[in-house]
Amino acid sequence: MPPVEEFEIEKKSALIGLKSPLSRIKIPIVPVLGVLLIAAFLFSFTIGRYSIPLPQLLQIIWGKTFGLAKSWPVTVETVLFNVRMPRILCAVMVGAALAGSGASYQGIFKNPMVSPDILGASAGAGFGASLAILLSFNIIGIELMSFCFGIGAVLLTYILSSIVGRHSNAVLLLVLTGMVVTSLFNAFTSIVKYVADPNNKLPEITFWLMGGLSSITPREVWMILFPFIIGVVPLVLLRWKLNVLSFGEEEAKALGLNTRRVRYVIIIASTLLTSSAVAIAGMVGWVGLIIPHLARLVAGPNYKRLLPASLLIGATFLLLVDDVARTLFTMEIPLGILTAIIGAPFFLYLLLKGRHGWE
Amino acid sequence: MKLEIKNAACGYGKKNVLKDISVFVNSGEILCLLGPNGVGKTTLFKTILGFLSLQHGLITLGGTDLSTMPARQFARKLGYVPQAHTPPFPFKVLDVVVMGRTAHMGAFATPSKNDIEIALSSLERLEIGFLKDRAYTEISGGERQMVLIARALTQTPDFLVMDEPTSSLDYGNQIRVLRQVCRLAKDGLGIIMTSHFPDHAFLCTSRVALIKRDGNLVCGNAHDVITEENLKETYGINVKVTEIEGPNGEAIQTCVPLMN
Amino acid sequence: MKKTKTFKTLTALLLCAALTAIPLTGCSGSKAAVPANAAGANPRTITDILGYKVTLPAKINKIYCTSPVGAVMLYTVDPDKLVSWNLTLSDAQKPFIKKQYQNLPMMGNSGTQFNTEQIIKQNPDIILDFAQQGQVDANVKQLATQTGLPVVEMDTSLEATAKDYRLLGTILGEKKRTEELASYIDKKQNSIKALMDKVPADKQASVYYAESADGLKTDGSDSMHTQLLKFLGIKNVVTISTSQNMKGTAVSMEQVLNWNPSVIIASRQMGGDQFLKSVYQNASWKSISAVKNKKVYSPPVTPFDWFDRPPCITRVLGAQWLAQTLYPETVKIDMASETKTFFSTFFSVNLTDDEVKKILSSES
Repeated sequence: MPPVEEFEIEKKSALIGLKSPLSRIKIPIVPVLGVLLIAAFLFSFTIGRYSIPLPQLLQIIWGKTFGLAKSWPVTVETVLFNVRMPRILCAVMVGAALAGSGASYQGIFKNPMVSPDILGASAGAGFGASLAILLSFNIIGIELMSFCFGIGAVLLTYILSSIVGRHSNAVLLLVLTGMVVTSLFNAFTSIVKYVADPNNKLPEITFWLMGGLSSITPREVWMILFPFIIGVVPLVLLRWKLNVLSFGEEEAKALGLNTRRVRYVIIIASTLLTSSAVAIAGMVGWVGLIIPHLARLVAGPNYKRLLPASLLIGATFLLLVDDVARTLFTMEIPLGILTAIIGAPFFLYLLLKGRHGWE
Repeated sequence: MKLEIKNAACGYGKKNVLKDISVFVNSGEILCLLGPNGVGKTTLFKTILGFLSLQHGLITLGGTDLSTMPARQFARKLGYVPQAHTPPFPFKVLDVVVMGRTAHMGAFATPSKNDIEIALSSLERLEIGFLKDRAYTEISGGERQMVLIARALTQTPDFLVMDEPTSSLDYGNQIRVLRQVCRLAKDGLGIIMTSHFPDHAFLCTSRVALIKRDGNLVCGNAHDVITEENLKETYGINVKVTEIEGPNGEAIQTCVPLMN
Repeated sequence: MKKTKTFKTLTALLLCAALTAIPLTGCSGSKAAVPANAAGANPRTITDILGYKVTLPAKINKIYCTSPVGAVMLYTVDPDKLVSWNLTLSDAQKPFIKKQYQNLPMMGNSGTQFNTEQIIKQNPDIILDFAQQGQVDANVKQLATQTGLPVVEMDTSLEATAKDYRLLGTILGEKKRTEELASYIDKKQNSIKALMDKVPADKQASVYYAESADGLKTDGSDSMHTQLLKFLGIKNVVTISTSQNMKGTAVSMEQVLNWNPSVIIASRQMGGDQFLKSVYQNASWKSISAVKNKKVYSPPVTPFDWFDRPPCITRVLGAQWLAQTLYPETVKIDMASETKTFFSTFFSVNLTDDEVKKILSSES
């Protein structure tokens, strides 16, 4: 190729001011992120409103690991293993779940502006929880209803899109029916809020919708663990295929990909992740949208590294944000509010600086 | 090997666009598909690639009916080169080219060393190896088109199906792409490409299929099909088909549009 | 190109700032008086609890109350004048309300919205509103303007309960019944306060008020929701200023463990009945002093919550109940007897011993 062309390209890049992602530098991004997550996890274990001196904390961990006799107060052990540990484990899983499904959806829908709510999982889960609260279900009932309605909403989106058209653009149709289903369930939630007693049920519903991990007990860890694993594993296994899907339906098919099947599996996996995350943490926005962008800046757009990076960064992010939510003030700051306060300006910053992961 | 289209009728859903199309390409040949906008070139193209169902007739590759072939096998035989476009994410050129190995990879696999080697050699073959670490979205249109050809080559297909590979390229890049296409045919690939430029058909194609306004297909050598009458009938303009002498004394055919 | 981008971004930011400023100005909660409205024939002027001068018609036939606080109060005085309960009575509540008043239509309440036309159709003479901490709700002001009716403001604070009754008597032009109830309240409130003064300092409880299924939503010492604690001089572990909204404030489990309250008062509403069912088995709560000593109490809810939600006159009984539950050695009152007397005095209901027992127990 004549040198003239090459020169043109360098000039163009300089004008636009875009820099290629850091992935050019050969640092092993994913292992580094893994180490960061572990560090954040250990750190989070040591902080909380109930102050535990570090020596005592280490003593307890040592003692528990080696089955030594309990020479520490029961309360401290309760705080560490019954309150803090489940909560940070859930924060890690919820963060990873939302970021992972967000990244996957951005690949399937070929659009970096997509979040995991696009097919209606969050709206459905929110409605399920609101309805359960209205009907006075217990905590487990509320979580299960939320999870089921989250999945149901996506199922409805799928069914509607397949009824509407088979020859049309499958992906676009999903987005449109997803919008319809989301609006529908949001409307239902509004009805529930309207009918609810403002002294009694309505505050409960409002709290739930604001999102938070304050009610986490060891039981919730088990409840989210299984959907989490069942959801994350396919996404990680199929991550390279997302690269191909992001080029569009026709090209992906022509390259030999069974686009329908791959899309199917990824949507099911992402829905499991999103629904279970919303079921135990309420509506936590922005994570599914922002974290994949951040991950793209750090690890590049290739899903081979992008997906694990999203999972790890999402987990670390939510862990640290929840640390703030539960320790900064005496009262808890709702998680959904914090992620919005941090997420929205950060996104604006990304846009202003021209540092985005897409053209 | 032969890619053959027999009495094909194609269209969208119930709507029919083209009927009774019979045309073929052999390995090592280039078939150029010409015709005015809207006549159905893209429809035929999409039908060959399997994006649209064949309404009537048969398309075979080496004797096997294409409609019965699963996507993975199809991709190993037929490589699709679309018009260069901008994907949503700035993948590295090498990553884009490696995607051609999808049909050869396992369900949960990521590209192996071998896959990457093949991708690199495709880039070298087209003399664009120096682009491998650049962002696909930052290179020029001509370079992008070449990258897409490299990707199709990575599928190690027998045939390439190219959708207007020279449209939206500057004059120089058009010729550079055509040169590569000729070389690929000489290496044994069979190529079908659509084009808006009849004179390109003279430059490197073996055969031409011209779809006229009435849907009739005229097939044959470039010399026989690209005539002043056919062009007038198809495009509605006056053209002069002539022969000039090249730098080595060879005869080069070309067609020149007349402004009146 | 870059300049246009910066310009566009600036415009967008300014627009956002302007849009957010508009609702904020609306929330300033001005203390302007409720608009004075026409008051029919032979008007008279009274001063309400917040100090506003309100012109009323000579005869009051119907009163629209903006919340259950007013509705309950009016029911105990003259139920014929009651237009709506502002809530739907549950099956558990109905046996204690006279049959003909059980199914009054719902027309909204100050917590959500008012159905203005429906309200006007009932032909009320005045609107009775209970302002929270001296602030009149914006939608109450709207209702006043739309209906053209005079609004009388009363105070939800416990100290003002007797005063509220006396004002109601003035409004209705009939003071016998209201004086009876006001005197009862004065007597009981003074007596319970005197008893509370006698509680020795070392026996003082530190109370945490739980109002959710997970027990982690609460209200601080300055909140109107925990007014009963303040009235009795009981220490609320939550000393931070909590918001005054309807929801309550969320705290973390660690924070509650930190406070280590000696007593937990758990509301049965807002999912609290779930909390009560599981608190003694819950590993996280076990190490709290209140749970260890089995001092988790739930205020009775018949016929309306004795603690809060709504903050109505049953709190008079609630104060006695709370004092006696927390300090049984010092506050020696017979709750069963007090309950019977309260119900017969205010609701004209004669309770059986079994009924009293059920009301006072933790069963909702």
